[in-house]
Amino acid sequence: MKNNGISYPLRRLLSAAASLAAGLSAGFVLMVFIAWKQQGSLAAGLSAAFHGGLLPLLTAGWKNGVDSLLSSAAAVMLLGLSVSFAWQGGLWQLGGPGFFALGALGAFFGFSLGLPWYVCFVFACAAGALGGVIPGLIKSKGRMHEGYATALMNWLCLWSVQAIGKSSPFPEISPLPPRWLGWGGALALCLLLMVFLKCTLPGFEIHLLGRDASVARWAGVKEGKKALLILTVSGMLAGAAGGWQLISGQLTALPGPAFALTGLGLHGLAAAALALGHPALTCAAALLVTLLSSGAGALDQNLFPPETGEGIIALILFFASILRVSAHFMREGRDKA
Amino acid sequence: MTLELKHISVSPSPFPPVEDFSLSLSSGAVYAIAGNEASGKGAVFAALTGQCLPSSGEMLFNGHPLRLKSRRAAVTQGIFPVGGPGELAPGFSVLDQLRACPGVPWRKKQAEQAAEEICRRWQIRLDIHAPAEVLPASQRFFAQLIRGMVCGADIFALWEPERLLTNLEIGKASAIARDLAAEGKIILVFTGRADVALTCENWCALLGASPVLSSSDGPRGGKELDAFMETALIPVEKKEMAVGSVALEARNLQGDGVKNISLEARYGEVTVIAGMPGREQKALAEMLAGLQPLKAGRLRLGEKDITGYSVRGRQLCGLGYLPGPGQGMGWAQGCADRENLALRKYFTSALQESGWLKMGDMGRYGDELLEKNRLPEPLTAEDRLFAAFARETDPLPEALILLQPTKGLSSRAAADMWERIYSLRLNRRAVLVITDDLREALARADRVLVLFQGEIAGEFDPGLTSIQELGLFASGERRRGGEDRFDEE
Repeated sequence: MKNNGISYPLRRLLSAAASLAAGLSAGFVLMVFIAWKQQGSLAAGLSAAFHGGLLPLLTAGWKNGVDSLLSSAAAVMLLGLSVSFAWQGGLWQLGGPGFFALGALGAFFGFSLGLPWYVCFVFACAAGALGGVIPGLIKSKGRMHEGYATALMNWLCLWSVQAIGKSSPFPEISPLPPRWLGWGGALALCLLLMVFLKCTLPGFEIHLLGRDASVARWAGVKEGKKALLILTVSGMLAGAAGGWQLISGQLTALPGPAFALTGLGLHGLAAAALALGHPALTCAAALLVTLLSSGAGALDQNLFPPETGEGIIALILFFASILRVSAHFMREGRDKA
Repeated sequence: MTLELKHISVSPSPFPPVEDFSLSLSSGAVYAIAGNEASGKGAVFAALTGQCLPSSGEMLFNGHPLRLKSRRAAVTQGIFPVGGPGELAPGFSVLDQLRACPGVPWRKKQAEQAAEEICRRWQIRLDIHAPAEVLPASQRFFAQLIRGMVCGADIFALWEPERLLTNLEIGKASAIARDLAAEGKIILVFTGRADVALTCENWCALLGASPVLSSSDGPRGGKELDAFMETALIPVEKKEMAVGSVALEARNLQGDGVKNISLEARYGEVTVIAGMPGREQKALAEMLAGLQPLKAGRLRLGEKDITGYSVRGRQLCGLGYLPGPGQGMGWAQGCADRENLALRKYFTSALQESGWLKMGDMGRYGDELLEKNRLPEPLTAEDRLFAAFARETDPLPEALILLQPTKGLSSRAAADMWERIYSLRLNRRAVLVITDDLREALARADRVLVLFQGEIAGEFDPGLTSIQELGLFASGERRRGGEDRFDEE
């Protein structure tokens, strides 16, 4: 499939690279501006923004080793896959953080009962899937836009989980599963999703819905049932992310509403946006976002406020979204022509 | 008053570009710019009505350069577009939209009087208080023309009147255009049909650059224009055959855009439902195919009642539906051609087993379909339509519904499509074509039903009906049971 001589996968890579470059450039300009105000001169500001900002942002994540980076990226990969899978079916899933919290709650419940970690993980997936079923039903039966349904569900889940978390003591989690299992499992799930979308009947119908919903309807695809399936699987993936974070000991308290604005919720969305919904690229983008997020902690604290790192990730997400929206409009213009 | 376009080049993204186009007009001119879909006339229209700026060259109005950054800028300068898409917003009455134009008196009474005076002068029947979306296509066209007149526009750019008007209405619009020209206005008609261009005093035919043919070429030019535009219908051999029993029967269908429609499609017959452009054609087609819900009515295919069946259920019973080139053709843009070719079969045991797609068989099925229909790869947009037709007729359906199957096609490709439709008829299948091309409906159909505002306004034998009579029904001038009024006319 080609457009203007550039193949579609290459266009995806180019657009991801462009959004990344644009986000980093805008972030660098922001850092220069902050440093310039503090240092008094532009030259000093530039130097400080480069050595105390951009350089640690890009390199600090590697310092603890690839294994550590991959372990931190596992949950972002799963959250990114959750958003990407919904995009593959043409749906906007904006409830990632809420389903993540539900997943963590599921695992939390399992641990409270003294169950082994793998059973707790199944609980987490089931809780996330249950979170996805509700907006799925609202979408298929109530004809409500999935963006609203998942966003409302997101806040409902986050507030509820926070309320439960406050009233229950956090259980002791041991023994911890091997660290590689997180990213290894995320990569295996990514492969599974790709095979599902490419080679199975429901996967093909989801792929068709994502490409052209009116043609899918014409071909006899039942949109409502597929939306329910997509949002359930998507919720399950986000729940798996939450469960894994809790099981692997990276979560020390149940997430609340603040989690939706900073942290993994945003990172998963940024990874999916950078990858334009492609599962394999989502995993790669999740790794990159985690690298930046780890680097954000190493910024010169005297110069830059702690929000700078997250701000730069938000900028990358912003540019990735702009590219996605402009690609959508360009495609519409081409179709009309 | 003069309008000059000097060597303009325009390449707006939705339209094919035009390069180095020049034209000079003065007061009192009625000028037609003719060209088919890719000729570049849309680019000239877009530049003149402020939808895009020319990349080079200049436009002069009374010697002053024109720089039109928006449609509103064009209207303010006195250039008024008529007939283009999206010019009347739904939900507002014609009068409200009239008052929103620059230069029109804001007071409702004054604007109403001005509009009514124009309607009286040219005997235009138009309810200016009705919301734009309920007006028939022709009335929307005249409403736009009236807006231009009330605004006091100097130049009227008429976009493809043949899309919205019947032949009789085109005659009326031509008369109004001549009157306006006599008052010193400039009328520019952008058309895709040679006969419409030839109703104007002067015309030129466009093909991506300066005119390739014009009225200055003398009488020979007129004949050549017809050949150049390829708008004449190419004859297609149609064998006489006996009509069979009813294949598809719809009784009192009601739904969104469809009021109360009963119709039949018979084996070995091509039934054409014709009407002016409007949403009811698509609504009817989708209702029959199961894509839109029915509020009331029954639908039978052969002996089976398929009213409650889903899209796939109807398809498995033998009801095919193919939207035409302007309606997506059932061809998903982001999917590979092989995937698109398998869209009617991917769920059958031939192409899947226990939920796993047989990817190799899917590819081979596509190859066979293309080879059987002699369609070369890579597929062009036109080839895709024929490939979609091949997909829809494999296996042959009991009845096939086609929505605007030839819209936007060249006359050669349209004739090819009709050859395929007639081959279905030869195989004693029922074909139901829904179109807004009255001329084609009359020339190709075995039986014509005319659709007006969601109802069947009449049924005709094409051999005994004139295009004018069909136009009267399609525009709502005449309804079933109103023979006396038509006879008087």
